[in-house]
Amino acid sequence: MQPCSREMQAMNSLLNPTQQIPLQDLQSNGNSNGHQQIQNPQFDPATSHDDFLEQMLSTLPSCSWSDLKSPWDQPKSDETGSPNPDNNVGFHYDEILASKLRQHQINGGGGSSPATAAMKMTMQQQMMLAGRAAAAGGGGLSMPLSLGSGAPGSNHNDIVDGSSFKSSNHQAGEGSLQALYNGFGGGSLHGTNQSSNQPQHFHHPQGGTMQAQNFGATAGTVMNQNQASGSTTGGTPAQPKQRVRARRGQATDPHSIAERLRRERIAERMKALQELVPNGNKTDKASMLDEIIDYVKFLQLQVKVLSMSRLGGAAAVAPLVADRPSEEGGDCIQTIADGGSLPRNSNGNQTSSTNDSLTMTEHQVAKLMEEDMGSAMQYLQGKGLCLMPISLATAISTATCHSRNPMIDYANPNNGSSSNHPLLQSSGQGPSSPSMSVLTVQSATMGNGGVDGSVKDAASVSKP
Amino acid sequence: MSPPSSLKQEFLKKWITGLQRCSSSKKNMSILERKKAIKLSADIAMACARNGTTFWSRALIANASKDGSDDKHLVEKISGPESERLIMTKVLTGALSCNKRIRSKKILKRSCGIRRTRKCAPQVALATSIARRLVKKRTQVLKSLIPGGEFMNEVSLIEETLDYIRSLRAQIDVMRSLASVSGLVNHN
Repeated sequence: MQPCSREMQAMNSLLNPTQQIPLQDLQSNGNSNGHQQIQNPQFDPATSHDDFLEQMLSTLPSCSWSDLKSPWDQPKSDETGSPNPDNNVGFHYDEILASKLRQHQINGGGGSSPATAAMKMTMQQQMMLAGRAAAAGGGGLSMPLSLGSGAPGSNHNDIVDGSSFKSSNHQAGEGSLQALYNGFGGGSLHGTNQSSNQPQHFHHPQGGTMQAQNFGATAGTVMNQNQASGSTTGGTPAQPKQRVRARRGQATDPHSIAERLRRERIAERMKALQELVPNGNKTDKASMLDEIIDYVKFLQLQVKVLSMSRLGGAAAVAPLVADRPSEEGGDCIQTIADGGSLPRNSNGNQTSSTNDSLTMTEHQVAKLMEEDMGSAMQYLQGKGLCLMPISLATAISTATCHSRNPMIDYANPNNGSSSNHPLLQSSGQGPSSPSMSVLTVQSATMGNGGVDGSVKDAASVSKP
Repeated sequence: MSPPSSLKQEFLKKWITGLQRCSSSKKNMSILERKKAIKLSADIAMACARNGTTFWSRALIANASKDGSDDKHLVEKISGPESERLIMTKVLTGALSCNKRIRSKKILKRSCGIRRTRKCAPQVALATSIARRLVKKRTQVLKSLIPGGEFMNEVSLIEETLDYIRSLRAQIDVMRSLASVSGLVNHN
């Protein structure tokens, strides 16, 4: 119906600060019910509030709830209904008004200009008044006049209105409406940023941004037909609809459902990975990923070493055969398989015990140790050497006097753990089979950071 | 969890064919080349053992059989003539579709990311952002490790990692046993 749509338009324009419907349009409403009450900053007391009230009373209920739900949408022309008697719709008004006002509060509470705020306040109070009037059975028609007179131009008229309203509230004694009004009062307090005399009149003498939330809370409770308390609902999202925040794990939004599914799948797979990867008892995703990465690197390294060691004695033509780091990101494997123990079609007999080769080895190992301990270990083991702490080496050397190669004390300056003095000791004949070299490699890389564990294994293995 | 023996057998068979091909082609290779050849044949064999079911295997094969590379013949030999065409088609389609999927997912995420901001306390937000950054860094590293990993999303990445680890273990077991056998043979 035309009037209804225009009413809605007016309300929308007032409530929505961004809409640009000029006031003149609203004023020039050729409604048969009378002209519409327009919210001018100069509130004209002479204009008949009655007409406006009647319009509101008659047209509001005819508008469907869906219209009111999204006041920010363009008002649609509403065809429903005919004016209902006031009494039937009193409660309906409260709901509608409450929702609209709450939305307005949430949206408009953030620093609207005083003029528009005043407009809105007056509008709210008029609507409130309309509701009140409807509920009270029309007895409050005198009030709009006082309200109107009190309104023009100044912000603290809200106080006046508030006081008058409050009295009416007390008279009627409707708890929900009172709460609503208190919310309004708080809202107006917030909207206009005037806090001069307000606290005395209102139940919620809270200033600042708390008002918006307060109002939201009260409106919400009114909507739910509860007594409004001073508590806030916390971070209710500022949306046109009042949305109850979903509990954790029970979201209904398709996006969050998809996300949850995805997370569950990832968790499943991680659990399966936990069994595969050694040390996989980490609960944290990041550390679990760390373990996985290390393990994959280790496995790839093993494959490389194995493929090298398979080559047998053809190996070690030159003592320094190195895969340059450019090939594999940083993994420097220096392996010379088998130390030449396997007499295959070797192009040269290599012995690891010439002085030249030893110094070269030393240099190479030193260089490797700067980059990565693991690769240094592998290099050595490829040559049939291993690293071990000096104490252990001395123990071994005293126990067994078989070692043909001289022991070399090698103090690693880069080694952080001072208790370890890595020592180059060539085991007797070097690893006699690829499997042994592989084992040493494995043990070396297993004890990733620490030299101790790996060295112990290496020491035990490399004994002839 | 030790890899199933069926996987190992498959791998072994294919690897042997690959090795035969390798050794027959070149006689005198340096150690590096040999190592590369062995590793390559092992990788391809492993990938073929999967018969193109997993992502990383397809990526491996695709990398190996790029046009103009010598390894293409190796791939053909290992994968067998009739299955080769099948795998090639799978590889190509898989790569293409995956790229598209990833791109569309990125677009979707970017468009929807705006409305999905949640409010939380500042400390919590900071902690979660740090955690997320860490995880992201590590997933990047993981992606670089696994062949063809850059094109996968997180879920499939973890799946592929799982499968990749299993096949790597199988590979290592086979190689090690082979090596020990050959070592023993050579000793005696």
